[in-house]
Amino acid sequence: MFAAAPLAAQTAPGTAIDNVAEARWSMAAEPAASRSNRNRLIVGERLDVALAPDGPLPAPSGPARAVRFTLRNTGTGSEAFTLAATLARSAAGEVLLAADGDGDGRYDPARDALLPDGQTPALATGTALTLFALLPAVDRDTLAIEARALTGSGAPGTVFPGAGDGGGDAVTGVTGARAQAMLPLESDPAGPTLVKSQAVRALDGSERASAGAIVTYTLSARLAGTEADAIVTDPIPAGTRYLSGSLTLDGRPLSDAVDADPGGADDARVTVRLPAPAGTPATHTVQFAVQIP
Amino acid sequence: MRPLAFLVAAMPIATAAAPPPTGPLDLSTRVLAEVRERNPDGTTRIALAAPGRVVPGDRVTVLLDYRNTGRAPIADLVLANPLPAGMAYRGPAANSPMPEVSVDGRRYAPLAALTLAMPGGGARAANAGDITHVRWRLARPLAPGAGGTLAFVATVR
Repeated sequence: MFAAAPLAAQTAPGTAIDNVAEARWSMAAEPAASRSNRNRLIVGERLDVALAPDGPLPAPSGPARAVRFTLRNTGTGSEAFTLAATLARSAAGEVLLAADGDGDGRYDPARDALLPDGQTPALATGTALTLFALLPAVDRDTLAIEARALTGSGAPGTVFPGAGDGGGDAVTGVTGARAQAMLPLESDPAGPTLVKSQAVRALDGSERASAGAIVTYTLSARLAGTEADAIVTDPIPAGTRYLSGSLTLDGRPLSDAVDADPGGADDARVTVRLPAPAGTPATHTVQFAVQIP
Repeated sequence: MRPLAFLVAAMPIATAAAPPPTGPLDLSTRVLAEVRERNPDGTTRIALAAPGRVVPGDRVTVLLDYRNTGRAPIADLVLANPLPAGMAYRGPAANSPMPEVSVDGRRYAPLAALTLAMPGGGARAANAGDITHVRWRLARPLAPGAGGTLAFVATVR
């Protein structure tokens, strides 16, 4: 149920960081030394969360189906999350949420319990939880899943005084302690799909979304084979800067300029025209990177 | 009669207590955080302020304020700062001279000249995250009444 924590160790919430400076010198040829005052900082808890579809969408074979996704506590404390799953168009019924209790990656009503009120158990920092959204029978629709830290969420930097682990404050990180995943659901599994995922690489090599970190987005577009003029556009997330020269299509670099190659990028968005499919299904991968200033 | 109630002020998160008496050298440390402030024209600038809170990844500036409060010059003055466990050195602060750095508190050199012993033998080049101490050596004696500020930038681990 819980995956191993790949994040670099981060200072635990509530930890005191004490700084003391030192001096030594000579006076009248005699050595002397002294220390400064002690300056203390208490480390608060950073609240962050990531949510990603996990594996292929299941075929719409039965009357209901389970969509698998992964929630990861990318904050620095132990935190529970509240989840909500909704269908954009269908009034076919409620979407229920279950945790993968036995960790086998498949939904089993006998062993994978529903989340009461959509709330996860507390997850240690860096750990992930595999979840299922249990859908009623739907036609074409879009599943929206949203996760929020139970302590609180809001614009990055929002403070919840005294609410952090260890008695310090809790502060929302770059995600605002809120994550959303949108999944297109097709009654015809041959229809086009677009799935987006992200990876963070910080200056210190960790996955921390800190200043200077590079976030690489991967857009995986599956075409059924009959589409014409398929174009992928994606806005550059607010609060980040497009990393010039990072745009690729199927691993081949595309220039940022709008020119002869099929893509372009600027501070507002990336746009890539996909190759016309030759009547058979094809998958194309668009990647680009942004930097957190 | 109602009992007398005391209101106890919350303890501040960042404390900078008065330095203990240290003889002729007055040395104190402050730690400030970088905060973004919005200018009237909509742009933002980075300012330094006593942090109400820090979280991992935050950039802080560690300042060493020193002054000769005695009547004689202080010679061979070395000001050092062991990095607390929760801080990673990033570089000198703006307008501060570059400190010498160390990965063991004994040998100081420019970062590019430092190596770190590997478990099981061998060595690798040190990086900024390996630094455990920084120091500045003042080239000239510090005259009575003279002082200054040295500073470096770190991130909260």
